[in-house]
Amino acid sequence: MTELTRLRVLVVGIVAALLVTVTGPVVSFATAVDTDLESGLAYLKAGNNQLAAVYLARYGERQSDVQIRRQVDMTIARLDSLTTAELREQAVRELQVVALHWRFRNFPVFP
Amino acid sequence: MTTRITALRAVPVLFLAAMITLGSATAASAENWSIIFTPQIWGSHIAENGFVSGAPNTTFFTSALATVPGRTAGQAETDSSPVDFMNPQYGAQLAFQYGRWTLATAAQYVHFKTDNDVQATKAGEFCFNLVNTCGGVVNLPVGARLFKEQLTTDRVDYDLSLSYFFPDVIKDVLDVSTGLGFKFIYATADRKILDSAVPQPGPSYCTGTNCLSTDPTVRGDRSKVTTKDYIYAATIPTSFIFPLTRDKRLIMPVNVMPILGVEDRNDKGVAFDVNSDGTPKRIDGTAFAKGVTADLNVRYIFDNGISPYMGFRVQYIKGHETFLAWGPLVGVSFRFGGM
Repeated sequence: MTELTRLRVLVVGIVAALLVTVTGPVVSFATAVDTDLESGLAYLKAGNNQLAAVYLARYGERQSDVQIRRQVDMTIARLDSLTTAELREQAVRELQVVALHWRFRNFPVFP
Repeated sequence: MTTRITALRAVPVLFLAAMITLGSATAASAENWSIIFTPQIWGSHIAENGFVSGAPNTTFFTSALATVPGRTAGQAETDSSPVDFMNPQYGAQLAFQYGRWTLATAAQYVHFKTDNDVQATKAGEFCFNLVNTCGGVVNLPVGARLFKEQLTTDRVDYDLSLSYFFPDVIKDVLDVSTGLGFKFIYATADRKILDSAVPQPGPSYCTGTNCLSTDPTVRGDRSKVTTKDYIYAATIPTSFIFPLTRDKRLIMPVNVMPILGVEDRNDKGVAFDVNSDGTPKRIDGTAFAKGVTADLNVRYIFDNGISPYMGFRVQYIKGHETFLAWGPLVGVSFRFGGM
């Protein structure tokens, strides 16, 4: 590796480090998971159905995606039937898959 | 020259800085909008440098000799090879997303060197100086070097594209994104003679009124010549995205981007072939350009909107000549806003 190449790698490294360390805390990156959803899933997993329903409903109301709303409503509707830890974890996994909105998989082609 | 190249190298750095600033300033400005900033490095092994012709064209020596009766022409082949095994191509992309639409712009830069080594594959005579008829005839055995030159190339790419995303084309198996775009490539190369069968100092080869030589005092005064190359092309950026895990955070995008356009090259009257009537023939000017860039990546999507990826890319462009490069790439996307 030539000295010039090392210099270029160094410049890119510095720029990347600045980007992450300086702008990261200042600007708000998008978050792939909603805080209401996170809370709802945590209560669901812990077996607190009442609070799980509150947070999940709050999350569901803000979603424009029909598939996500349907999955949230379905989960809330069957909360009382999730009597074992296995069933609750299964419900959490199902909701997590749907809740990662498709827009987070949409990256333009780097030409 | 040094100043020009230094300025050229500063362009992508400034572009990168501008995009960081823009990304920071507009972050989370509107809930329906997302802004994605992606720096990337492609470690490209440039197998063929199609942006600049070898000078002279291999057939030149024997075609030029044919203008003189009674000569026994040899044959030669050009071995074009990269000086470095890998040349990093630095790039950054800024994309604006609204719903399923994405408007993206990107810039990339790479600096690389190529050696053209012309050697005799059949013993005989070779012409090194074509003006009206052939002069400077040299008799060479098999394996002897006729000519060796080094091309130092700086390439800058600018891209603009508009694409549309189709989620779950096959549910839980495939998303597709496709669109239209524009690509502009600017490549400039310095040509320098390293060795010649013609005793030096002296013209290493001449065509018409121009000579290349290691000695700048010879006819033409061209010990080092700059070639400029421009490609303007339409693109079809298409992405096939396969989720690798149930939560779809680990995905495998397969990107394919065909290009179709024109190449406009100016060799500054140095790189020549020979016309059938024995006169020098320039091999630059305007030509159709086509090609494709394809890569396969593995990408992970973190909760905080940061998404690193790595993969492997191949790029093929055919204009006047063929450009071919491949190698690993790595990058990271920062998503702002959009929730």
